[in-house]
Amino acid sequence: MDIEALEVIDFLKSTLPLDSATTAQLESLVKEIQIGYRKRKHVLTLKPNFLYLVRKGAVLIEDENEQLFSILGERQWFGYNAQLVLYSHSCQEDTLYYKIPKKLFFELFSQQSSVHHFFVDAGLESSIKVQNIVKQNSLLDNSVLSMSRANDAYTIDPSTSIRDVAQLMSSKNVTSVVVTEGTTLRGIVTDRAFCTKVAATGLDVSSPVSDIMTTNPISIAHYKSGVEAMLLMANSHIRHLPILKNNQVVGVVTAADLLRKQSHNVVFLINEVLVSETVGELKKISQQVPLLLQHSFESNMDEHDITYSISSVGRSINQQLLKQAEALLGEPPIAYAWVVAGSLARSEQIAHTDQDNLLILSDDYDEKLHGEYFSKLSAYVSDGLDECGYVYCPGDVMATNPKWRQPVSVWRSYYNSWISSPDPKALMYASIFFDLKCIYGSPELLDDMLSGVLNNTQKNTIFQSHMAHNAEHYTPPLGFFRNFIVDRHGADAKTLDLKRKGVVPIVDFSRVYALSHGVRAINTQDRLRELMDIHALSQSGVSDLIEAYKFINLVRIEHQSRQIKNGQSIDNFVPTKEISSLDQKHLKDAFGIVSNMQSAMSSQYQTSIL
Amino acid sequence: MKKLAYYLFPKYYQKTLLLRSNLSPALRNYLLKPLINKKMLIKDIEFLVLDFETTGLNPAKEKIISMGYTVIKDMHLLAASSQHLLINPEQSLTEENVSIHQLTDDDLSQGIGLNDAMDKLFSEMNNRVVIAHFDNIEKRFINCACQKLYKINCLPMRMLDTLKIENRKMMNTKGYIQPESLRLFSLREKYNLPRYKAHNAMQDAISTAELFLAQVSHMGDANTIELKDLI
Repeated sequence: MDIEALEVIDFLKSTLPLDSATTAQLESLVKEIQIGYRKRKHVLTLKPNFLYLVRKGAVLIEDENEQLFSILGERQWFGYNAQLVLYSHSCQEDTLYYKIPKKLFFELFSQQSSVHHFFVDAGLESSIKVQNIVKQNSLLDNSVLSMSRANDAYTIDPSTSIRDVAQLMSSKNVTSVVVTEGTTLRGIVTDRAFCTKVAATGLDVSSPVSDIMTTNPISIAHYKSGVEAMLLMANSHIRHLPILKNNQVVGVVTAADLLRKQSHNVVFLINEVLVSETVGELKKISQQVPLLLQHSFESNMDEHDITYSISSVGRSINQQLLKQAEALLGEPPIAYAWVVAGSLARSEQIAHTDQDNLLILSDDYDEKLHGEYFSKLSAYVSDGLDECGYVYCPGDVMATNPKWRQPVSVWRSYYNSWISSPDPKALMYASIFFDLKCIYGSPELLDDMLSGVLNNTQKNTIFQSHMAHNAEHYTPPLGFFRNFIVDRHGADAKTLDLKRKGVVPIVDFSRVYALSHGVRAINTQDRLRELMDIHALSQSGVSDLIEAYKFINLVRIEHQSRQIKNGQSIDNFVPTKEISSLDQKHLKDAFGIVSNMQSAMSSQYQTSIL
Repeated sequence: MKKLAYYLFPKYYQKTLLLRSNLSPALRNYLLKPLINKKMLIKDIEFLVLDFETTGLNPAKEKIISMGYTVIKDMHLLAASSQHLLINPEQSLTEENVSIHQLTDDDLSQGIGLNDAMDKLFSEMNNRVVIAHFDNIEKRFINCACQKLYKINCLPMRMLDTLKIENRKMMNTKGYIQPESLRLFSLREKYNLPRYKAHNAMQDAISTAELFLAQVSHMGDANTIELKDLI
């Protein structure tokens, strides 16, 4: 037969994991394919020795409790897992499917481990995990150790003379050496010390190096990412970081090393923020944020690092505006904490969003004495943020609103009333005011305010149920691709709101669990990991959910990065035609995971009784 | 008269045909098997789904230039059974033919002779029910070829037509039919079958086979449907 002429070949070639198959393999495969068709609602009888592939239509899989397990669309496989064969497979639509003998299939691809892995790892009909195996490997190369130059770490004894150190640095052409006693890190000497501490003061070069070293230097663990190292340097105003593994120095990473590796320049941006003196200058820097997003995405940065960088820039703009305001208004009369909420607090920002901020004042606050100062301070920062693209919050959750500019005791009474009588408005506030981060001023005030609150949320199960109920508001669009299930919210048929439908459900879910288990972390992934550590959530559940979250966010970042490239304004509505069929499959898997977690939450918190 | 004999006494007619001496072995084998019983269950029958490409509609003047077919067994299409035969028409094609079928004189000069093609077809049809979409073309060209090669005017066959199956269904449910809606392409869309780009006799035979599987699935339990329900 003229197999190459068959459309089946083209179809298989573009179906995972057969993208790596040779033409000869595909031709042998086609010879064994049987094509079947079943109408909608027909329950399929799977034969255990066959592998099935949806050619067109959709297959619904339900577990033994008739719970939705997965919905498969075009190019998705079923029947490969002996456990899943027992689940009910029914046609969600009229379905044309291919049926292939397993034995032959796996014999044919016995040499390609990727094909085997695809099915072995696909526990939840999900190839997300497969994709992550690839990702993990590339992440290894992202560690700070891999970015430092291998022979860069010269360790010396504290008693070595300054002259000997200078000669060593000069001959090895390095800008720093690490001072150790035994294997313990004691200090670091950078070329700058020779300028400020030796030449400028006329110090005797035969003195021991311990006289000029920076003692107990800031260091970084070997597995941390380059971006984390950059941000640590930027925030601490240093350019050299000893790298530690098991408390032993294994290398040194310099700012130059990192910049060589990173095509984008979040550190430069932050440095510029830190020296700008006017709102106008900040505005110019802030306009670079979309480019930062685009470059970060294009240089394959991890999703977590991208959002962390963007949020860091946002935070430093807040901080710089406060410094400017203080310079203008004078020293603050009492202690205060400038606190941000929402995605900026969680370090999950990907673009300019509206500003959510509040002021916590020390209980020494006296309206008559201090009111004007803080009202002016808030106005300066809020107006500045608006100028910089962080527009005014439509819900007026800003420190300019007197209601959200209060001493600790008043804030505490707010929380008590939200927790004790969780009406819809209280719940809305709760979801905002539980993701807080103090980024300027006295962080103790925020800690002080929240200390009792977390105890209350942990005890009050009625409040927890209400929060969980609230977190069910946004559900993932399981049926979005090819209308498998009609979206309950009647989403626009052409675009997908990845923020509300994908990210928000996971963020809300994590908050509910964090609050009810007294977890203090704010970042969604941190929350999930801590919940896993205290066994509040299962390890597999958390890793699935984090993968789903990362993937959805990455698609969203890709979309915005494309919009930036095309000079369009940024939004979260991704047209389906922009999403490759492979990504659609992953997205669907991700939505499936989110949906499962949501229903687990619903039953755990008994939201149905509300 | 002979045609009448075929309808009234098919077994007798088949026997008389077997008395002839000019039959090829493939045709003789075909005729040795009785036609599939109309009471047989669909799920137990093997089907040969056929599509011809011809130089025109009139079998007396025009020629078959390619045959595509595929087999359905246990209500599944067997991809390995799909075949595409090019037939040398021993005449030049008109421009119109080439533009429709994308088959050129050069392609077809590589083809096999009509008698070899018919022999292959007879062996594939053996003990199977034949299916085509709008079977007039295939039926008439087969008969014409039999007339030409073996002086048989009417070959005994069990044949199903996916167009007629749909036609009957529409008449029963709606009472009227829009001719456009019975085209293979439109019907495939109706049954949520994929749209294929390529069009040659083999791909169209597969398209027809998938349509047939869809039609049967929509008729209810395949375990109870008999062949006569579809004729």
